[in-house]
Amino acid sequence: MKYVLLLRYDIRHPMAGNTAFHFAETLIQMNHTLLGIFLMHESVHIANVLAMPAQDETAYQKSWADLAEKHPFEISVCQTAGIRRGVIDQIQAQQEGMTHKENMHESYQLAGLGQFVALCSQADRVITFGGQP
Amino acid sequence: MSKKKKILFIFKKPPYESALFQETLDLLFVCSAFEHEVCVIWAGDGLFSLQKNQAPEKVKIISQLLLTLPMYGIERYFAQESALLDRGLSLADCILNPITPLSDLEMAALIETHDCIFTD
Repeated sequence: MKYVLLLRYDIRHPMAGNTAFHFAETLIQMNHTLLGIFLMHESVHIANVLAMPAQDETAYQKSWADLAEKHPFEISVCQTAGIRRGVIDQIQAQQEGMTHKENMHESYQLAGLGQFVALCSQADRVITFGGQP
Repeated sequence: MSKKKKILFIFKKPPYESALFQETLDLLFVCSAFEHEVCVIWAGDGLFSLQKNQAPEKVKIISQLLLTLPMYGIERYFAQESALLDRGLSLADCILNPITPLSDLEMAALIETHDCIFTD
């Protein structure tokens, strides 16, 4: 089956990323396909290089990037949510006249909701991670 | 490769609590623009977003945003009956109509008929 994961949890909870990442790893191990992950709401900060977890916490930013390198899938950050929370890539920074102020990890990209819905259209399952903020 | 899906949106949060409502509504409009079949349930505190006579100062009026749903061709509206009763709300005070009340069992049945569920 083809999966798309929607991440919208608050990254300040150290265990929050664990379920989503473990789910992604497992579905790949079971020979399902991960089409992509989409970061919305507070999860946009997963892509933020300036948001660094504590020494004894897992750095999911790198975990997702490494996983996407081994088993290629899209890692997209919701554009509206990202801009609102100060997580921007190079293109957006240039457009806003804030060159060199971009703070997005190189493996992540800003994308509109249209891209997310187009991805969901191809998926058999869309799983959301993250309830109450 | 991509097919039309039946997508269900469930609004459970009170309307002015956070940006979540607006961001979920944006997702709903995009799903509709992609011509998926969209259906909406208002449950729990989400029912407050349907109430007439909202007059917040300095922020967008949520009920006005909901009035644009018919323009996107979204016409199937449902409300969780138990939540209406718990909150002392009536469908007559809602800005959209017709809204079909659902028992919790009917809600579960409706959820089961959809391909994809998004909540706020």
